[in-house]
Amino acid sequence: MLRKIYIAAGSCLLLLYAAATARGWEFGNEPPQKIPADVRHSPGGYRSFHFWHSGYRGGK
Amino acid sequence: MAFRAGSSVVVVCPYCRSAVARTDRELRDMGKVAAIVATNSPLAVGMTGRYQGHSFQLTGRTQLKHQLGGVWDEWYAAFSDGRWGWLAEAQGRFFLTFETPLPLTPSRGGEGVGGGPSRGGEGTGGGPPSREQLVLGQGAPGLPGGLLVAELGQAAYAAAEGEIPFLLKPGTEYGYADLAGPGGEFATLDFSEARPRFYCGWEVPLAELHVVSAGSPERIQQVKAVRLGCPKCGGSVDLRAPDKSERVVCPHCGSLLDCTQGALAFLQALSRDKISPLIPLGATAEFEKVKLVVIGFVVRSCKIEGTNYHWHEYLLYDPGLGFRWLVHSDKHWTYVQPVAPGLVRDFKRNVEFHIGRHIARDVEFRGRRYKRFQDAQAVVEYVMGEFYWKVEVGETVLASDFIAPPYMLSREEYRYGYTGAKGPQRPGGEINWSLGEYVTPAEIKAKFKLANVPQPQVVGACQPFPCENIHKPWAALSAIACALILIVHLTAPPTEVYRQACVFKPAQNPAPNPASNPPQSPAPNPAQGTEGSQVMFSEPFELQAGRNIYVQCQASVDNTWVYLDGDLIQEDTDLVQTFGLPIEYYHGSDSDGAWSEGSQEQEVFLSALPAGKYSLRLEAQWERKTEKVQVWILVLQGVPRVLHDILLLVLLSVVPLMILLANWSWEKRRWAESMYGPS
Repeated sequence: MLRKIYIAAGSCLLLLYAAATARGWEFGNEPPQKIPADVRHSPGGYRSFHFWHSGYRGGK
Repeated sequence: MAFRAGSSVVVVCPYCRSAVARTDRELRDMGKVAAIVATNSPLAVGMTGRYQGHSFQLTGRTQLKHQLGGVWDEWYAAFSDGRWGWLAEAQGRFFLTFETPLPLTPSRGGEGVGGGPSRGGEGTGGGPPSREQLVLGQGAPGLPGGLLVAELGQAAYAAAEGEIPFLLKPGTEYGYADLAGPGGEFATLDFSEARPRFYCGWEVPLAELHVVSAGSPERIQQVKAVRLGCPKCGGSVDLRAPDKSERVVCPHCGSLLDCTQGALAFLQALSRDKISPLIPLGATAEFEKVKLVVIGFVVRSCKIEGTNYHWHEYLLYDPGLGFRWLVHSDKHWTYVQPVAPGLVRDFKRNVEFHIGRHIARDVEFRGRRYKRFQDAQAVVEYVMGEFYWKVEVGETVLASDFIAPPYMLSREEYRYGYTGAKGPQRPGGEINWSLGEYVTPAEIKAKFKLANVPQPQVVGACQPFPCENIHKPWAALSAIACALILIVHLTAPPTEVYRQACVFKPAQNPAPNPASNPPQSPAPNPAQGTEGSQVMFSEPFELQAGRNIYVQCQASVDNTWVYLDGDLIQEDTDLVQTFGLPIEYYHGSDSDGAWSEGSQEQEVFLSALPAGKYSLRLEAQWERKTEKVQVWILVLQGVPRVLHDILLLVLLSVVPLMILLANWSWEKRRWAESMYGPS
């Protein structure tokens, strides 16, 4: 039983690796968002986006 | 009375039981022989059969008695090509041998019946060995290499019937040696005459003999269980294998009784401390697709490093299968069956086995290596039920166990002396090998329908590791993973999509004009972000779909930091992928020497984006706002992830590694119980 489970899990892992490599998946990124041009061009448009989606980071 | 077989020498008269020999001149009366004791043998005089393409007929039979009391049958088969075969039947096993002149001629099967097993053309060069030259457990001198002495004993002709191919003298005692070969050969040296006779052959399953009855179908005497009275207490004693049993213990008074003479004879009063076997006598269970009955129970012990260890052995019986054992030790169970001694070889081809001398550390049997686990002198402490040998309390054998879980090979060496009719006391003995297979307590409970079976606390000698072995699937999956990784790294090299160096200059705000009405907020500067940050936009570049994106930024920071907020923007679809790159680098020296922290370079991997034209927006904030910061930007696609490769191999190996560690711990616990474990 353990043998079958391991083979199944291992095969899934290989498939996941193959799919991730073939489709260029990366893990841990924020997904892309659609931001209309007028929002992007307004003052602070990107700042709000960065604040909510990637966190505001100041320096030391 | 007729000599039906042309070359038979003696015929036993069915009426007066006289053995009549024919010589070239006359018929000679050799004396009377006892009547054959009825056994449960599937064979009978007159039966025909076929072996390796040659037909034969069973013309006669003798019953021989061992000096220790055991009895076995020897049938004489007249083959169609004029040869005689000796078919020995003992404890449900059959051994077919043919007289083989010394030096030997090869081979088995190809040259028809007879001639014994293949010897590869080896000649012996000299005569057969004498009785004194044979040593139990060692090779037989004067015979081809490979035959080991498995038993040295004395036998006597107790009874006979039919036609016998040699000059049988009723009551004659003679010495013999049974030998076992590496390919399962069985041989006997018969010392009844001045020049020993050598018989060589094989153990054969009954089915291979294709025997059929030549006469009445009711010739098979089915010996059923009988009930006799104990001569000591008068209680009833059941014999489940009356034709095979030599000894039986009265269940009422505990007396050891002899049952070879028909009626029971008192031998010895055994200890009154009654031990109740977990499996009662008479219980049945199926093993090897045969229903076996428990007919005997033995408690044996050994002393190791001053401590007495006890275990229980149950004798199982079926008329067709013969005898088997169930050994119960440390709450572990092993199902045991006999094996031919010659099939067990020293792993290093040294055929000597000596207790305590460790010459044969490991043995080989049917292609499997067995490691030596324990040596001991096993002593019979208690007996109950029936036994096919003359068991006695105090009987001692030298025992060695070799393991290859779930199997165990056990060697028992029993030595004794006997005084033959022809001279002084001679050393006798026998070596028996048996193969055990581990049986779980749950299986025993189910087979015998027991209410409760105690669970073991330690790892059994041949108890298999409970987890399935997954090293083969691990190896296969790891090989596939390595192949995939190689394919990824070799077939799709990364491509550069953008490279640029840019300079972020300090912000410059014009001073407000006090004469203008009302003060206005400064006009937005496209190169200026908020709170003093600077922004740059790249020229558009193409990104392919399905390939990850690698962004690397280097900055000329020195004991300071710069933070880059990046966005990949597809103007057509308003799709924005954001990322952040903090770059900081500090260095100095103190009492411990030079130190550094951080890096002037940072990188990030992004998931693939839909194909199209993208611009890179980079907003920089840095500490030293009065100084400029130079940033080098590199964007690649399709970069192989070594981290993913390592993660894949590690994840595939986690479970096998855990099982390996558990297996190591298991084996350590197993060998802690062995005298041959690592000290």
